[in-house]
Amino acid sequence: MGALTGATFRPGTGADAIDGVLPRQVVEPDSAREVAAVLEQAARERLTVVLRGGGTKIGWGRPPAALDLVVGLRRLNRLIAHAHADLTVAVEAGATVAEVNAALAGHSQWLHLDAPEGATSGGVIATIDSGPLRNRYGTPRDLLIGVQLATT
Amino acid sequence: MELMTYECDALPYVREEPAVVVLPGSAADVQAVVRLCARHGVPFVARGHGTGLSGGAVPVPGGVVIGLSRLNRVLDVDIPNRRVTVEPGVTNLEITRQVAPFGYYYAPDPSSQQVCSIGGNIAENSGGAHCLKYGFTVHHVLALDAVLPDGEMVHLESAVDDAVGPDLVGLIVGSEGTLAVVTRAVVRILRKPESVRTLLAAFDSIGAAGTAVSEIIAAGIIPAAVEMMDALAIQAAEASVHPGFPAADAVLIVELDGPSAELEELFPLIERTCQRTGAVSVEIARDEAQRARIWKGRKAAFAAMGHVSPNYYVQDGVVPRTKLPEVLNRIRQLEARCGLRIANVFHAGDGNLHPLICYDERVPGQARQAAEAGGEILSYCIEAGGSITGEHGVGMDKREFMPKMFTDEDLDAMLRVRDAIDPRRLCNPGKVFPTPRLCGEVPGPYREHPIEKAGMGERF
Repeated sequence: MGALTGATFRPGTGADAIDGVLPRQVVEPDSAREVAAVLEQAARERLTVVLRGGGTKIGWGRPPAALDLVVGLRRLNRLIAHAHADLTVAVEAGATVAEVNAALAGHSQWLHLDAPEGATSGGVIATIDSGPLRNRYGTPRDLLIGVQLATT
Repeated sequence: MELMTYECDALPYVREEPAVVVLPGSAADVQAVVRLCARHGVPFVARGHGTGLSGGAVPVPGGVVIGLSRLNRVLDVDIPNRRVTVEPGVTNLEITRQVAPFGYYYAPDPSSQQVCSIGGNIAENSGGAHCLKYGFTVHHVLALDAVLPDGEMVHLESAVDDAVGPDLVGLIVGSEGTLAVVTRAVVRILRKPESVRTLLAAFDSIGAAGTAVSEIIAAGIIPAAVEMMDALAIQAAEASVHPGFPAADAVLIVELDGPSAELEELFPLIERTCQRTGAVSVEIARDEAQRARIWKGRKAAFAAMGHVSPNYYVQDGVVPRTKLPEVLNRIRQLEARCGLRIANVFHAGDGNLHPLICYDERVPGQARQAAEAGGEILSYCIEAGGSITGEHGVGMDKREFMPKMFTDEDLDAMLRVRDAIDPRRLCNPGKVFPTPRLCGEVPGPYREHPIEKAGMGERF
């Protein structure tokens, strides 16, 4: 599968196991375009795919019945734009909340989210993972104003 | 004759006569009507109190209008859990009235709140002057009961309330009546702030007022509301409700709310910022009456245009707040080019712009010119990285701008969702998305092709 998309595929190792199930392959694209290409090809080949950000919630839900491909998104971690005067930031979904907040700190701004260490902004949005800050600031869903998606 | 009331909403130049108007008295009635429409393939449009500004409630020719005004009961007020359960025909302000005696209120406050229905607010994801700090309807809906286009009744819980799974409440809110008819909503209420302080600052240019806003935001202060009005809007407001606004190029209304101690700290900063950026006058409301007077001037701004022009057309667009001065400049140039005066009122805190385009419908061609100017302003908003609607919705009025803002793939993704829920396009068809006129495809009752009838094909 690797040749067509340009991304490097490798076999799954113990560290990639989800609830004890080893993926046949793992790929870590480094651009949105590459993610789309991987998903498109996986769909054509009818592979079961799991998306992985920081892996902080990868154990939620039942163990996967089949696991052909894990798509790791941590390499998609660029800050695209911080319009500090507009109070908005555009980031790639693989950036962790901590990484985003480090970048925002320069203008004394932050994403007011409780996120487990290593949780990605994409993962937090996918799961609406929230904590005590929610009482004052609302959930991740309330912070999201726009999104770019790669679909199968 | 009676059907004429339902021909249009507050966008008066688009009218269609419905075949039938139904006024159900209960959620069960609503479900029965939708089931009947589904059985016979008849399109339907849900309608609140008809205050919409984008033609979202315009009937489909030959279709049914489901008027929800009779579903106007407040079903439950739960103060300890800060939730109120209402039927869709309850007015926005009525919710606040129900909880005000306990020291609470319902935050989203569109200017039409005395009249508009919560069902309509849900359809449009309505905001209001205080949405900078408090968000939109979608941030305040905890749960919904709704009838889907096939007649199924569903109960949905919101991510606001920590529900799991896809945020279907978020999907329905703002869908402009194209996915379901809401029959019940649970909304959240907020504690009234301990203190409110409002100031009105006059500037000799929009640019200076805009700088004041930028500096306030940069200081990390999120006011409850920041509203701006330009010279023509000020003039109109003065002529109509006499709020005592200074004759300036721009006025800024800044309101802070919160704990008294917080206001003691922050309000002087706001004052000083306005003075530093060149305010020619700063008036601080001493009491509730003065505050109400200041807001009356702002909230009456649209209707007030009737005092300076025979007709006017309200547009609604969004630009990133930092791009406001640039877009306003372009609007001024447009004003000079087309010869129609344009007043500007906006939610300066979040860049939601309401150009009010003056025209005289008795002058041939001016109405069309005003509509074209409105469309051109929307293209300025898109070019500045903004949106074609801040609060009024896409409805019928702005369908053709959707492809200017979204790619074919984007629109396709949205339509896939819509078609998954309403595959026969019975639920408020013809709204939000531009409809290509393929041969034989006309709006109106769904006509099953013989191949579909025979079960040999499906329409996508």
